[in-house]
Amino acid sequence: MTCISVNNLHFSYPGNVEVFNNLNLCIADGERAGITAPNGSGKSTLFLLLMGLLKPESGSISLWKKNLTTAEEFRTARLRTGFLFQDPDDQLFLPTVEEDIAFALLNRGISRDEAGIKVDRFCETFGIGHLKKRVPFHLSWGQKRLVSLAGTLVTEPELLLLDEPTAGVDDRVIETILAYLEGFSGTMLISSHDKEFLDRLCTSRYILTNNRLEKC
Amino acid sequence: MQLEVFSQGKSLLHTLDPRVKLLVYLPFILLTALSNNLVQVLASLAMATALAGIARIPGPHLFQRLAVVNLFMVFLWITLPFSIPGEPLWNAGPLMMSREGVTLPFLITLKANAIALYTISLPGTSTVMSLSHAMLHLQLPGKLVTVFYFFYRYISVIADEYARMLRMLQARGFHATTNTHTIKVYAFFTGMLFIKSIERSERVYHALLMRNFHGTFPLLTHFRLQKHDLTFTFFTTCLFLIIYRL
Repeated sequence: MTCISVNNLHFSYPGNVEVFNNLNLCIADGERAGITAPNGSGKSTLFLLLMGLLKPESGSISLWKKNLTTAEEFRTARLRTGFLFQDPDDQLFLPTVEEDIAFALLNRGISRDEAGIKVDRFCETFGIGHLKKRVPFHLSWGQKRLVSLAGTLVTEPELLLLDEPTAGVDDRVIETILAYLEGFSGTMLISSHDKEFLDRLCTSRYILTNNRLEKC
Repeated sequence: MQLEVFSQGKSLLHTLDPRVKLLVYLPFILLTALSNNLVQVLASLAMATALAGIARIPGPHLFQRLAVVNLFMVFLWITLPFSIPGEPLWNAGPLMMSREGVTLPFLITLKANAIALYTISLPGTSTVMSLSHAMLHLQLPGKLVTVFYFFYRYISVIADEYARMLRMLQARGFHATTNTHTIKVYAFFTGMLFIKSIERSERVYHALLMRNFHGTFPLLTHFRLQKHDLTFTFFTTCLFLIIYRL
């Protein structure tokens, strides 16, 4: 079954800065796709378009065989998706690590007790239990990355979009991330310049060049 | 962060339930702001000073904040004594200083300092997030509380961008002097600060949407009223009534 299907997508930023011209992409359920591309070629923009956070000029986006057009349809799709942003500082919002990790769970109406149990479990998985009461903005870059990843994965999404997950983090953090993601059973779309990371994790690779996405 | 500079500590006021602090804070500042009775305002100032003492606010930080408040008072002291008619106190040509013109800025200065001290000692000793949470518990409109928290969060974003850009300028050898280059750099700096802050706030909002944000902030941890919260409320209510009857 197809998880992500993008057809004839056109998108430009204001000022006629064309990012995508007739972009097509098809990712199967359970596929782990890695995207590599030069800086500024639109990897993050593609993720934002897939989640309905930016609007394309034309073309269609389907997730799980459902064509998404309205804000409500994208909102429903976001409930099944986890998105790790390139900069953890954009993602971390609440005053303590545990509140930040629990945020998406509580937004979905999950009880505080159940959310607390899940937060503890993910804190243990990522080795950040000792940071639970800390202010997220004061952590090191690697710690922020782990907290933002825990906050993304705590909802146990079916589709995971990871935007540069290894940028600026050390080998130990990369190993922690890999250890979890290797056991992840859903679909993954990862944008990264880290070829070794993609080699270890991905089942397919794409290159984004000249506004087009090509499988390699 | 700048808005939470007094929020960390181990004093009695730091350990109080933020709901209690807000409930005590509001009547005191309303009484102080609306009163025209000098004795009442002086008693309120004494109460606010005592609270700042209990909160163990470091003196230099406290005086720094009060200095900012009193800077605005200077303008009142320059204009009001000469512009309010009343019993003459001092004459110099066309200028006439009145007794009423001196009493009013004196009263305003006392009130402003008392309110500043209450703000620092009570809500100032809690984090913005716990205050937002307390406001929701006190049945304040959810949208208002969300706006309050967003204001705080984005002020912090702008402050972070400002600090980062300032470091960048210093690292590249910029030194402010009185020339057109400096003015130009400051103009670019201000423009870039706003552009970067807007872009960053958009990314933060996108990240919130991805985590199913729908206008409220449900929290994992909740408040529980303790014995010392009730004791504090009882004593401050008594003191409020005493000041009110002065």
